[in-house]
Amino acid sequence: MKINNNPFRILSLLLFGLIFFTACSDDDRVTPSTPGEDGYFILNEGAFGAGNASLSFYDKETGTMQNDVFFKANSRDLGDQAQSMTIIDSFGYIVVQGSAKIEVINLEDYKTVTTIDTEDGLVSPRYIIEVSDNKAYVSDWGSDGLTGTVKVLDLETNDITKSIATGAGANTMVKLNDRVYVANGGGYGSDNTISVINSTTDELITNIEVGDNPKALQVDAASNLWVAGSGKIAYNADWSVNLEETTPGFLAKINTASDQVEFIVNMTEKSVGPGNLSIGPDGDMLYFNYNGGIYTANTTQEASDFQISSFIEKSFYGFGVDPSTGDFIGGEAPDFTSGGKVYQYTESGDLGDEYQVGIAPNSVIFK
Amino acid sequence: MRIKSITIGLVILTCFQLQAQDIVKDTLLLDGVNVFSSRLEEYGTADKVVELEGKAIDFSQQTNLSDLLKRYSALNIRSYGVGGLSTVSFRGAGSSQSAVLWEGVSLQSPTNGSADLSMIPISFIDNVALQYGAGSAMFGSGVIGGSIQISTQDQVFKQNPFSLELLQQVGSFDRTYSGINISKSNENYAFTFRAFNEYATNDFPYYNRFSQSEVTMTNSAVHRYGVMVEPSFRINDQSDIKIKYWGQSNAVELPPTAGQSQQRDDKQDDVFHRTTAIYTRDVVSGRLKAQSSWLYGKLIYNHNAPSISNMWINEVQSDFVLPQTTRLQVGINYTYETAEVNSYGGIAPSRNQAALFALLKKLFWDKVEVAVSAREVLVDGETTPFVPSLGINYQMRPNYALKFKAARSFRIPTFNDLYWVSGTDSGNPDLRPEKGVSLEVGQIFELGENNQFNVEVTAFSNYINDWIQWQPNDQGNWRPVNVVEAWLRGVEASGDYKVSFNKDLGLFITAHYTYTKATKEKIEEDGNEADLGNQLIYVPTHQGVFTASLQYHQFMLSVNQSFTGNQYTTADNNERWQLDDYSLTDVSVKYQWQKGKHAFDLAFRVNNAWDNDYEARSTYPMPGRHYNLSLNYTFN
Repeated sequence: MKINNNPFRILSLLLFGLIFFTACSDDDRVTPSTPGEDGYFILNEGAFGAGNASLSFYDKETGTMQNDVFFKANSRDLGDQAQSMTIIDSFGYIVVQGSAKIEVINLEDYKTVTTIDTEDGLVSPRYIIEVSDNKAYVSDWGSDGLTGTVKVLDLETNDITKSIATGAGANTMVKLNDRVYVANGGGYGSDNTISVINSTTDELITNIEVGDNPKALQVDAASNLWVAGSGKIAYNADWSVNLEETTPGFLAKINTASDQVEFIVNMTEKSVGPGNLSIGPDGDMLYFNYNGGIYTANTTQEASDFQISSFIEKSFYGFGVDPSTGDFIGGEAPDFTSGGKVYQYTESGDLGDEYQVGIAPNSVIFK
Repeated sequence: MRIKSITIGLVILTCFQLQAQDIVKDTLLLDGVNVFSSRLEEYGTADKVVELEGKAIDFSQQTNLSDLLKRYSALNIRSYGVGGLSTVSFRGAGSSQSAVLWEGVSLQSPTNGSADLSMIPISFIDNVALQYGAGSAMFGSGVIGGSIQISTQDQVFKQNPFSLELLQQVGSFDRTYSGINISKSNENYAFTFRAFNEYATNDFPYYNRFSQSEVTMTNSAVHRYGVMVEPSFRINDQSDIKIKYWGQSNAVELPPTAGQSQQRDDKQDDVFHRTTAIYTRDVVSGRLKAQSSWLYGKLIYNHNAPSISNMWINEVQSDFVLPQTTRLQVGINYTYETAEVNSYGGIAPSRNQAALFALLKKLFWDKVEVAVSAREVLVDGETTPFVPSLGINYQMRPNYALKFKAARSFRIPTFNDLYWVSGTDSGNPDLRPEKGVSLEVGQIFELGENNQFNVEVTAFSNYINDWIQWQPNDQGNWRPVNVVEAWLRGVEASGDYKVSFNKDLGLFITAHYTYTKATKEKIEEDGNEADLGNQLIYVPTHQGVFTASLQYHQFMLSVNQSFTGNQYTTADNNERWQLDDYSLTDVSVKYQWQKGKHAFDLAFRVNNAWDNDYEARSTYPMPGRHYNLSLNYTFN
């Protein structure tokens, strides 16, 4: 461990790195097949500073989990703290936050096509989404983990053409029509806003206030934006959690026609999530982590009497719902010094196969 | 350091005529001799102790304690890059379970539990003793794996108008080290002044395995400087007082790891002031010793608010020489610690430690020495594990001794473990002390006509409970818990060989080898069953060092070879992420010249002669072949 301050700052980075998978949930691109039909990638984040991130692929045709595919294809390690991966066209964009780079790989042979890095202007990148045929947005924490930005990436030249200031710990993004919503998850500090960017002009339109530390976003079938936030933890002098000052985690529903918050549902238990959000194939069922397990909530509910139900009584570091089958895929990180495990559940929550994967599986990327 | 390099030369020359006595230290009691040495020498009857002095060890070619130990001990030195934090692990125990004691005072930080060996400059230490195994009964909390005891030459009250030593080193990567030591003394007063200044950019080239390209290390400069002042006064024939002050500034840039963004500009400033005053008074059949020490540390990471720690350590002990070859030492210790750390969220923790200890040894039948010791420490009134120790040394024959030791040990949690908070990570005020139970058996042989071949072989077993480890809970929030149960065991072998072919030509060889099996013995609830029985991370199974020095007239040629075996970096012992073994070869030549009161000592060394790529800690690259030139001048 480094002296004193350093390791725990690092730990806190891991901590804030509760991840979820944002697919290109927008529909302005015609996809010939539903993601998940071929299989899915598991991105293994690795331990901070250890440079042991890796990529696994579950091949549905053969029913096998292939670990370490990036290393096998490229004869080098993926890097330090792989945060997220997004499929754009036939390429996988792997955002490696600790290494401050994006590895662009060919989805067929996993070989790197190009690498976008600090020389191109990345500092502490988190997520990437495609916003048009030749443009993508990259959320970035900045060197202090507080001054978050969204960087505009030209997909043809791989140059960053603009940097848009958003909020602390710019995290996951979703695109709906010509707007991109950015969850300002707090980074090394805290924030309580969703930034809205016009994806044509690359200008910030507004910031929508929600609860503390919004981490994850999903758009439902009725084009509502759902936000999962983890709340903010406060401590007493003896380092027990100060429940008075601690703000609860929440789910928020935003009407994207008006960009107004329709309602916020605060969780009853504090400091136990949610920070990770997925949506079922029909776009009407939210899956999120809360209180040591996975819960679901129907998106058609009203604020009064909003119900959440326990789905799986197990905690996952990262998870995703297969758009082609509705299966739930959960990644377990027992600690950050051993390989993790992936559990496959059916849509009704029955446990199927389990697979060994790399260190700290933080997301599921459906191919 | 005094006239270290010259003495070593002389020692090597003269040793060829002398009976070898380096390893087997005749600790057996001599009736009626009223001489008191350190607690370790007195009561470490069955401890494995290696003293790094008087052998083919050249202090003047090292920069700091970390350098010295990497080359001349088979201890596991955990170096985070060339200028970074460097800590020691004895026998597979953690770094915070292996203490560094300066003049008997533990330098382990009350905030993070570590003592950085790279902050101990070579010209501020004259004696280094490595004490292997549990030592809590002798030295208190934190001595589970072993301890490094450092000190300066004991001041003697005799006429010495003036002596001077200058040390200048220059080396690759803009490295310079300058040291000056001045001392003078008379019958009533002794004074030593030392100062050093060290600088290096450490911008060495290396092959980055992540980017697969030759790159240059960035943001890795170090600048350290400090002074040590030691005034001593003889009060009368029976008593004296010795004062030591050590102040140092350490500005260290923290380079990125090989896998991280190369645009890192983190830095750390460490300043410390250490003072100790030792009063001794000889009485009839005994001695009274009182020592009071104050250790202040200030650490600034980047531009954050400083982390400050203070320790005030007071100890009074009485030594008794009893009839029938019996000795007794009893003492009390009171330590007060405080810390102000930004990440403790506004509170400044403090704690009181009060300890009572007793050590007794007796010689039976002129050949069996038995030492019994015990210590009990109260932390803010709460008891900690009672730590007894039993050592037996059986000198079977003049050239063969058998040793046995059984001991308990413990370590109290650090302030970081108890009070840290950052985001959703937090310390755990309910932590218990870590505790260990150890057994060891050692044998010492002296072979050859003049006992020129010495071998010590030790087998050890140390079972540790409640080992504190930070780990994420269900929500991914990191917390320290008393979770690890580990069994550390292994074998150590040390050997020395000296031979003189004629009066101008001599050879000295020293070697250490360590085999360590350190395994996790219990899996916590919801833990990974597959980790059971696995080797702990960053504990190499095999480790060894070997040094051969050939002396011809005033020249000395030395070859130093070290080997560190594979180390797992993941608890599941996945070979994919293991740190590969590495071996390093250093070659040095030295020329010594003396004229009257002036002595010179010029040495040139090639480090990592085979230009091997290696990491001592995963993703922290180390330099390839590099060079060092040192000139040592003494006036006596």
